[in-house]
Amino acid sequence: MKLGTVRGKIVANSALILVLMAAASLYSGFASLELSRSVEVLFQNNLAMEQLQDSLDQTEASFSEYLRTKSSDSLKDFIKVSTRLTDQSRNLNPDVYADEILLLQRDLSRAFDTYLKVAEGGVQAKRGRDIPGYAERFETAGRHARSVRILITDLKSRFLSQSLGAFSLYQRFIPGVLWSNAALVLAATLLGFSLLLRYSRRLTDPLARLAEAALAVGRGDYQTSIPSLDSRDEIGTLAGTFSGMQQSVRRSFLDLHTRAEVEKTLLEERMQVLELNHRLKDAELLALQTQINPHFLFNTLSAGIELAGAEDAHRTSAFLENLAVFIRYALTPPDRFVAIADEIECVNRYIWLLTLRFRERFAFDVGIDERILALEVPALILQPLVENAVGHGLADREAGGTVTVRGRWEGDEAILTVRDNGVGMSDDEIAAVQSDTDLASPIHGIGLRNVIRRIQLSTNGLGRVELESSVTGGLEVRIRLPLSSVGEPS
Amino acid sequence: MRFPLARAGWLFIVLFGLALTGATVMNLVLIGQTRKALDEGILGNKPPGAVLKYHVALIIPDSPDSFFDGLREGLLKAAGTEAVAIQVFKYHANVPDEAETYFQLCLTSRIDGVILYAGPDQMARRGDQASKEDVVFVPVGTLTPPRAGLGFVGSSSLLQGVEAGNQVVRRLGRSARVGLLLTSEGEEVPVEDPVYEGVVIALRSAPGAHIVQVSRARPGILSGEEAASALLKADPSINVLVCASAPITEGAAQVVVDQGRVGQVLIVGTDESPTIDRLVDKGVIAASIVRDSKKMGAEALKAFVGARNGVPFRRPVEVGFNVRTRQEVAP
Repeated sequence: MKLGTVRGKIVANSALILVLMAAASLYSGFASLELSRSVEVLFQNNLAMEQLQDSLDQTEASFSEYLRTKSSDSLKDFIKVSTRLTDQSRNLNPDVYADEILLLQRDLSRAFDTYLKVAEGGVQAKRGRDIPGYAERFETAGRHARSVRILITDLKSRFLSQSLGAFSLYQRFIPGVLWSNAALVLAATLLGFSLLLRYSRRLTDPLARLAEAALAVGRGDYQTSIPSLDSRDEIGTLAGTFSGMQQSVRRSFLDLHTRAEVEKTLLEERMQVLELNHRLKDAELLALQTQINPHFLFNTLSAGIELAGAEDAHRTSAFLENLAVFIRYALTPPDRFVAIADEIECVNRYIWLLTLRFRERFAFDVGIDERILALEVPALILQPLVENAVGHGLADREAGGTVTVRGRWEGDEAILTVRDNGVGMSDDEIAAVQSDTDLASPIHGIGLRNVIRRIQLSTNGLGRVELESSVTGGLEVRIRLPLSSVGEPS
Repeated sequence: MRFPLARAGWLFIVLFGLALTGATVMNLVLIGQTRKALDEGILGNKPPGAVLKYHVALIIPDSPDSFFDGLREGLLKAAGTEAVAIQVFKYHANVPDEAETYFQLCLTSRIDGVILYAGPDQMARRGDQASKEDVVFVPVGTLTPPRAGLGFVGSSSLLQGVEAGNQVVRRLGRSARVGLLLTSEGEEVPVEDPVYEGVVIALRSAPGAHIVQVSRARPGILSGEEAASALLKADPSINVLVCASAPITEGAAQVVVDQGRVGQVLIVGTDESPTIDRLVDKGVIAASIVRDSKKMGAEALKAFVGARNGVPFRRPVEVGFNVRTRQEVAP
């Protein structure tokens, strides 16, 4: 089992706590044992004195028995108990100290010695049949025994007094010992609990953080940071693996996202292609229509001209003829370039048609510098402006409306102007027309924006259209065409 | 919150670790103290000091008399300079056999020397017995042993009585009516008591002065009070009380104070104590004949050491006395 593993850590920490508690319990037990031993010690001196007195009594009894019976058993008893008494008395202090109890012990030790010598002398006298000798020694031994007893009694009394004194001193410490014992066990328990909390937290914290990160990843938050764990145990391995897995998933998602973006772009491009195709089809359809309808229109108009001629309606015949020429011009492809002279002719025919319709309601004035008549400009750039002036600027005038068309050479530009005295345009409307390039916008006339757009396209942005609305009313549309885009004047 | 909690965990570990260590150390210290208390008190493991050369027993009455305190003090002081251990046995003053018991005990234990305060009787026999057991025997007391050639250290009661009589004559002259309070240690009839004899000798210098009452008092102040009160009641003409011991002196002074007869009944006391000194200073006690018990102890030890060193102790040594009066006591 390795200590670096989770199991190893759990076992090591549990062992530490168990050892701590066991040590506290053992120590507490040891302290209690020590106290109980102390109680024994309290009275051991008195017990020793009791033993000495017992031995003395037995020695005296065996000595008397031997003197009385002279039996070998009583002699053996005497030897046995006197030897024990001698051994016991050797525990007494033999030296001279300035201490009452030690001096009493010395007295007792030497008194035992004296007594035993006299008693042994009595035994020898008895064995030697020296009757006066053993009688005298028996009496002397009795006197010494009394002295010994006095000493033993004195010592017992002093030991008891000493024991009581020591006990009261000992007793004074006992509550402290017991309380400190209890405090020791309590402190060990709390320390063990603290260690348990600390180590359990240390073990479970990384797991909790890992679980939080896993929950976040589970919710789809792949940017959440995985806690970096220094531990080399299974949790550290798990965290490392999880982090790697998160990065892998993040990379996969990034790839998917990039692929989706590409697919989206492709789809949009495909949609644009489809849209273009759609418009192309419409354009083709429109082109076909524009190819079919003019034939029908011109045939019809030719039939109308012939009919008007047959009926001598020369005015109607002229109207239809001008109309047919105008329409033929208008239906020609709009991206072609024509001479300004052709544009002026187209404008004149359109004015002839308008005059036939509105008679004296509007006045038209066309004046062109001949030097620019041969310059080529995009077709149909003047007629829409005249139409716009009549249709919008002068629409509300019942009379007095004028439209002036001019063409001149100025510096390195050819300038074509169409001016009316109608309602004009506000600055906002002018700005909107000039900035609005959406041909489908319904805000202003299609013709004006169409002209502006085609001028920009045909001159690569060099030509421009200016709108100027005067304070007294009216609008002047000025087309500036640089020589580089329209050619040299003749 | 994680960081503070982690730190709190460490804080608890350190705190309880310190508590555990502290409790263990305290427990060890307390157990050590109980063990020390037992070692010193029970097992005798307390260092007893140096081994001394001689072992001497002092056998004295168990009496509150300051005389014996002085005797012991003088002996211990001298013993300190001679490497002698003193063991004290106290017997009941009214049970003289106890003194004999302790004497025999000392012989059984073959102690190096015995210093015994007792009456002169049996001193010779004890001297012989001790000599037989190779024990140096030094009798001390106030009554010189009757046998010549037996060493003795004491302050003669006869001389004490003479000095007390002189103090009475000096203060009252011929008008002295003496009440004499003796100790109960003496076995002889009062007229044979050396103190009595000494007082009588001194009073002869002032014809007319005489002892009108004699009484013995047991050891203790209350016994002294009782004897003094009885004496004054028996003969109201008594104008001076001569006391043969310190407790009797203190008891008699108390009676005189209680009866309001300070100045009417003089007290000539014996020995010294803080109470006697105070009463002398107040004038309740006219004078106190102080036996030099400290010197007696010192001389007794000197005699023992001499005997151990081969100088036979065969002559009496008189340590003398001094008279304590108000002039001496006053600061």
